[in-house]
Amino acid sequence: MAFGPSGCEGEVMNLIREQIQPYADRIFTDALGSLIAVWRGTGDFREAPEGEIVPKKLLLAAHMDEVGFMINDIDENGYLYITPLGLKDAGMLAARSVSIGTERGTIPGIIGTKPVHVSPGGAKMDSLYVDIGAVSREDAESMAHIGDFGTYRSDFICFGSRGLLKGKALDDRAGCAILCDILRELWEKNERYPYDICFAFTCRNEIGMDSTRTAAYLTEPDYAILVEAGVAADVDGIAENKQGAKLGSGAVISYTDGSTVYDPAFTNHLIATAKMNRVVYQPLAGHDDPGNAKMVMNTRAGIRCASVAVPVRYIHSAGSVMQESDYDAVKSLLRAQLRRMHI
Amino acid sequence: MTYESLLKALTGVMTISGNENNALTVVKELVGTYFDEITADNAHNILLTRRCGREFAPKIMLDAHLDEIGMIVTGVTEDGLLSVSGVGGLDKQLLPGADMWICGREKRIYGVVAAHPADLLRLSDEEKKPTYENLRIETGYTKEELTELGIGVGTFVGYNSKITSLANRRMAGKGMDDKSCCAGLLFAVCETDREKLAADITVVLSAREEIGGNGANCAAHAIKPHIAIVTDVNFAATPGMEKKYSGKMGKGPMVSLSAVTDRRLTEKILHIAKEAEISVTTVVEATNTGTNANALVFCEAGIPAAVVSIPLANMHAYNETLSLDDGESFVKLIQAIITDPDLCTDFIVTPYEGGLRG
Repeated sequence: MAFGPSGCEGEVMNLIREQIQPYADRIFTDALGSLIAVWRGTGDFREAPEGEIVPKKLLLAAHMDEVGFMINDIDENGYLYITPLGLKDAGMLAARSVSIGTERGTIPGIIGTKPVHVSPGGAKMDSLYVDIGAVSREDAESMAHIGDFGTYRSDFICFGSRGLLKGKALDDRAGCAILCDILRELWEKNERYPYDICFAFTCRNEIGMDSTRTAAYLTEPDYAILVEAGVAADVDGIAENKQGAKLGSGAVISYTDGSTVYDPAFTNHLIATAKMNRVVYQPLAGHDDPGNAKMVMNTRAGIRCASVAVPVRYIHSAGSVMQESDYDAVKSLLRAQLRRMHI
Repeated sequence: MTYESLLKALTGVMTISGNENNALTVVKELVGTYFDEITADNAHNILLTRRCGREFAPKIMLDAHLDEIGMIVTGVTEDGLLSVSGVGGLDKQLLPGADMWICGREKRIYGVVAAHPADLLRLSDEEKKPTYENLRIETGYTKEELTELGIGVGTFVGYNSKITSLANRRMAGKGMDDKSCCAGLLFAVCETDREKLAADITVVLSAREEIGGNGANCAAHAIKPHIAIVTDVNFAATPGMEKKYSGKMGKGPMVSLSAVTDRRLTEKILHIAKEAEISVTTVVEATNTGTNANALVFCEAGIPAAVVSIPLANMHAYNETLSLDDGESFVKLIQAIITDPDLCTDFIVTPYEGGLRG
């Protein structure tokens, strides 16, 4: 529910910081606004099997930002015009109830649309505007400014009989929540591994400027797992070869994304972990969400990278849908993986 | 009771065309005591009459349609996805990702319209264009469970959006078309002393306007009014809308200038507004008012009618937006009209010696 379009993740970060502060050994923010929490390792690598590599540091990353828009103009009648952030389809925004983040907190607005009588299906990205109730430019400027961020207003709703959850920004708050859960559980059981674990909550993923890269530079991990929302379109009406991940079929373990091929050995290792621990998983190759992995993999002298995702339907819309059991599967998989990082 | 509270109560009821009587209980509860007679007729109109108490008084019909647009289920897949068809004119482009109520026989359940990220899935133009063939609604239930809930082919599906209050008393929500006028008419009549009424007033909350079915005509047959004032929303002047066909929000109700409606009555209304210092705008709708008035004027031997509107932005979307100031000016204008002693003078036809019609 928190407000966090790309570039404006402060509210989300504060919320996460509040949640995990008591559990982290160290918590800090980097120059781009990522929040990084450290769970120290014992530094005792003596138990590692002969000849196997054990990471000195593992990075788990999820991005805090969501798709949204920015105010780019205000007209004489007090309507605010917008530039999308990470959104390409005008229909996703038109007629929505939205929030705009202003100096004095968020205010509600409605994205205007021409009536269907005049212009059916006519919403175009560059003609979208927000009605905040302002009656003139001056009136609007007393409430919001050019450069202010905005995103959907959408209730978080549990529905149906198999634990479906609907909300905005499930991409990638689902990942953020899993990371928070894992850190809390480690603390509760005081589970220490030889290696350090860095939890990075990153920014600006949706506009392709993900700060996972800088978080990776700063924390110097030798392994990284990106915890994402995976595109699921396993719905009647979509060609089978385009359906991507399936809701209810467990953790998505990706071989590729739009930008790169993940470390195959690490990915296969994750799949083995899932099998050994009877975690429901689904391997996926070739969905087209241009992730941030490429930049992470090439950071410093190179980082071995894999991705685990919660399948989410209707990603980037105000009504994204996920299933609770998939969330639990991703969490279980990661917890199991932490126990066998000898690759 | 305020205009705003009445409007909120009415928009909270799901009255997709054909289901107008869903609002009967609420209407009776809210305003029942102010009217002498309330009936729901066979066409699903709700008729509320408040008499002025004088013998042989003329009759005025005030019309606002109670139905709202929605959808109807045309199919259910095994995993509980619904396919639908529109009831009234919906902009399909706006539906993906929208919250819906699925009005089952047993209970109302939540649903969300499937919204695929076309760019990520590399959907072709044809695949990504929302049509009633490819739109699906996610329910989270299996087909079997839906059947138990009384949901299947023929179930109505409506917008599920909360009221949003914006600055300067603007308000957004579903069904403002035409509950903004329904609330306005009811409130205006309730708040007017019986003795001041210029005629016996029947408020018709009419059925099936959104599907062109014109329930208002059936009501007019029963009432036989001397004049009718049809009230419906009209286009607000928003970016991209032609100024001459729209009205500015916050500048008061719109009065239609049309070949369909009665010009003497229209001018009388404009005169009344001026006398009462109520700001109104006019809009030209040459041969089509887009309202119940089109057919109503030819009902029986003809009914002189005028059209008064509230400007509405985002019409037929789930966040229709209006100014509460306009709604309240609309109430004042209706009150001024129905208390004008000369209102009906020009329109009383006396076909037989010795009595008024009806």
